[in-house]
Amino acid sequence: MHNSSSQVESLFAAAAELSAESRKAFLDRECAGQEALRRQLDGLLRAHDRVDHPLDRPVAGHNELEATCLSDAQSVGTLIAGRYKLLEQIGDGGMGTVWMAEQKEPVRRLVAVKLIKAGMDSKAVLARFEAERQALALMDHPNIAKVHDAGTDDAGRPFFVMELVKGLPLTEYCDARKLFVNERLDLFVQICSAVQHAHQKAIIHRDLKPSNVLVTEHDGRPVPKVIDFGLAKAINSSQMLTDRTLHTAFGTVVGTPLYMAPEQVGINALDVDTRTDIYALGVILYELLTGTTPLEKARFKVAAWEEVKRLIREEDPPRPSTRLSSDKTLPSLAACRQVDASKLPSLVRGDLDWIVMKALDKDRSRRYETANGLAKDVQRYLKGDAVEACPPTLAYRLQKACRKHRVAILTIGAFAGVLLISTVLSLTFGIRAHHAEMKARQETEAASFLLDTFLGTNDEHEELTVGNVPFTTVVDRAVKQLDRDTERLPLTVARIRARIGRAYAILGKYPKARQQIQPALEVLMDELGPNNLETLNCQESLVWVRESWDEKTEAILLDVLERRRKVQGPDHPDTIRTLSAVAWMRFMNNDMVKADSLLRDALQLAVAGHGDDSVIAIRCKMRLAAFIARKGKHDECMRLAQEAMASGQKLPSDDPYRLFLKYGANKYAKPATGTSEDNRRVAEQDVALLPEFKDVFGEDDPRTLVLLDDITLHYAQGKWFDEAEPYSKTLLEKRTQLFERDDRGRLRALWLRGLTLLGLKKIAEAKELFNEAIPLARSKREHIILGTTLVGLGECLLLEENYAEAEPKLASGYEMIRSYFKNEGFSAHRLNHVREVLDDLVAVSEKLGKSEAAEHWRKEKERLEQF
Amino acid sequence: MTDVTQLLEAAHRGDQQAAAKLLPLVYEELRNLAAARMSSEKPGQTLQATALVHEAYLKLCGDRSFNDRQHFFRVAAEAMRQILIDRARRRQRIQHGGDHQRVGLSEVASIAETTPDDMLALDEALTRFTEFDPQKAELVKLRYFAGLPEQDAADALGISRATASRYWKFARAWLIQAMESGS
Repeated sequence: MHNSSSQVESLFAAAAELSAESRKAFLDRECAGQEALRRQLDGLLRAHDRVDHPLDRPVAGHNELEATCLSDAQSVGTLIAGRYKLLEQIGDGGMGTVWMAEQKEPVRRLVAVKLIKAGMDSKAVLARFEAERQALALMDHPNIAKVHDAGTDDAGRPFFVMELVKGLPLTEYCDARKLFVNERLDLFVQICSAVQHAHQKAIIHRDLKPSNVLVTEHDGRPVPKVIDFGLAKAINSSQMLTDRTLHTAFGTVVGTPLYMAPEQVGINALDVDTRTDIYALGVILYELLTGTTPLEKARFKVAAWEEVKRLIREEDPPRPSTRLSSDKTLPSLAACRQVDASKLPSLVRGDLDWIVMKALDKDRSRRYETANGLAKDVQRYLKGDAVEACPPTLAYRLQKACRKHRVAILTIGAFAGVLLISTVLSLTFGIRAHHAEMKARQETEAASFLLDTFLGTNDEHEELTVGNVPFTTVVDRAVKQLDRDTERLPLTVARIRARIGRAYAILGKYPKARQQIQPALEVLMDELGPNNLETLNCQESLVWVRESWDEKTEAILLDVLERRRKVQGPDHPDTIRTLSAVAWMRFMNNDMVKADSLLRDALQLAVAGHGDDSVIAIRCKMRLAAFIARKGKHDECMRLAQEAMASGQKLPSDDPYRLFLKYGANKYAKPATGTSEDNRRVAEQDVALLPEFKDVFGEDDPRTLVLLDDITLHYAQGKWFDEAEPYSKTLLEKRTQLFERDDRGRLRALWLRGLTLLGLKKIAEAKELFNEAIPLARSKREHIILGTTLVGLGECLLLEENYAEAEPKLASGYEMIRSYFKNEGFSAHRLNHVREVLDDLVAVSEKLGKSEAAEHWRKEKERLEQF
Repeated sequence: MTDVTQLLEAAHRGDQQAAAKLLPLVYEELRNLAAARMSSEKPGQTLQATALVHEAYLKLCGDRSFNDRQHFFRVAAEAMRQILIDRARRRQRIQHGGDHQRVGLSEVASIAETTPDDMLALDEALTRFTEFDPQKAELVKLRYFAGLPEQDAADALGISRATASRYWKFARAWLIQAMESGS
């Protein structure tokens, strides 16, 4: 299967020189039909495009070599400063080595000795250490490892002597012992108390991180010990925390910026205070909960220092629960915490999210004032009390109070009821708040209650089911209420409008949807910023309701995609969904190649990140199956549909998507040759599903209508016009009655009904429908519908013997259909269709006495037969 | 020292065993030199693999012919590789085992530093690459482990600089891909 290596090499060399654009064209040309070769080259070129790989930093001059030599230079048995005998090397890194050593005098004991590598300004290091020595000596806390001594060895290198702690670094310990989230939080509280103690003695650690917290066990209880107090300042303050020294000769950066607070990388990098440690504690807590640091290590590895600094200063990390939900390794993270993978994100969501995010605030004045404050809030969470960090909404406090006092939460059916009860309870619980602020918060909560109840949550993944409730009425009423009510906060109104807009969009009421979404988006942008998830969701929903799916629409979608990648990460389900939406846009604009490759990317991300059985993977598969079906590649299409179907079996039995999936899988799960019988088979399977659809989704639901559409389409394609008749009728009625006149679904209904009536030779009615469909199809750029509708109209005119008018319709319809199929590939069914159109054209030309034209169409038909 | 020159000459004549015997000698010499240099290092100065290799050469071989020098570089590159891999293995052991106080301050390492895992993954990929294309693998050793500039590495392999540059690009992509796929 391997291609000759010289071929690979020469193609690689040529392609590596090209820009991304021309590279693709080059490879398409050179590797046509050689998939293995193409894959090989794509892999190599991707690797080629990587920047700043370890391979690009030859060992020459980087720390690796120095540390190698340093660790070689000391050896077991060496006596440092006449008192410490090195016994065993227990740590090693870029700054030096750590040894277990035996202290000879004044007391015999085992200690840890840190030898700093040569090349530092030893005098300055020691001077800084001496300055803090008094304070360090005053520290006496069970969770702090003592620093005993410091000095220089015979070669003039600084060393530090510390209490020897036998333990594991914090995160490793927690994972090795599989500590529950609560046990981790207990440890964290102890760490906070150690840091608090140091802060009271005016000592800032400056380099808190899990590897500086070792966990030992006393009587079976884990005891964390913070090590290296005072060292970071001695070594770092000039060596590390300024730009100059951060860059070594080869541009490598010294330090672990993963735990650095924004102020540590600011212009005045030395301006650190106790709140810098609070930030690092926030990072540690984040890592204890999620297994990763807020700014991911992988990103730092590939970023230049300037970029790293920018990330630390500017980038808002995702909340811990968000990070968890999007983490591929969630099952193993959850296993380390002995929780169910599905429960971990929700365990962290809310209180713990808020605590962590408060500690991590870029603005230090908004962080916890003290380590104690942070510890207290964690303890509040552990006890089930309201935490200080949360947005102090009334409903939140009520919820906490109810849970704590085990008050049964009643199902409250009415909006007004909630307001009334919350007012009463707020008096009862004596919660004081500024009046206006309180009112605003009440409203937000109440509004989201209303929204969640009547309009579904803001979660794009959730299937909205309304059964037979007149949904439109509910939405219209909500709008009226909103327009009447002028006292609400702009943000609340925007949130409600965004959801109402989404509901209208589902109903196909696009202009109404736009009226709601557009102003909502402006407010969300202003109040929450462009990277907020609500803003992103709102902006994406705007895309689907724009007048046309033009370049501008696609640009908006791409913009959303870009920000989702940044904010939510490239393999978050939302991001993948947006990516597949971009594919859909490409598809609508007839760029099948791009659509196909984007969708495959999306599928790959979905499977890699969330597994074959995730809803997002299933959706991507079904969408891809639909794409491929249009190209006539039935094998792959079937495989995808079957896979999706199998995964769908694992969805909860009441998940409405299961039903929808059944419909999709019906279409693709069996080989279809496009014969009339095939079409009838699919139509009949769909008919069998119809009662269930009506039952679960409701008669007027868009999904039920899609099923009707599909039934009609397959009957009509198979020329089972009598069977198609009742379905096409209902479909058009519903679409006209429920949806906007320019809805795409209605266009299809017009088209399908027209084709059915034409098949039944009801010419006048068919013509009317076709005439209505044509301008609509043109404005929607629905080329295939436009083409077939023109042909349909032409055939009507032909049957009416109006040849002069029939000819141009047929000819332009033919051109459209042909170029569409040429792009997408011909199938037997399509060929048949085109043949029929050409026969019509020959007939009409002859009737008009245009023998040349007739000859042209005949030739065209011959050419076609060669396919 | 005559050992080394004799072995180099034998290796140059194509004696495989001579090259194998040469390696431990060069390995030892490089380590000693490096340790000696480290203890007398001035602040802020970095240790250069290239300088080390050149120094080792002068010390072991004196002023020999150019051919010998090229051969020596190839042996030295392999020796440097072994030194660094040995160390990476040791570091990995320290990181993954033992329950004593660890890293802490010394872990204040460069984030851009090549981790032991990276180093071992590279070594493994390089071993596979050697089977696939020995000459390009040799080039990687010379450039990455011995730190030779492109021209010197090209000379040591007897190829033009342009060829070396092309080879490097391909080898780099191949290795990165191999390291990332991890199999």
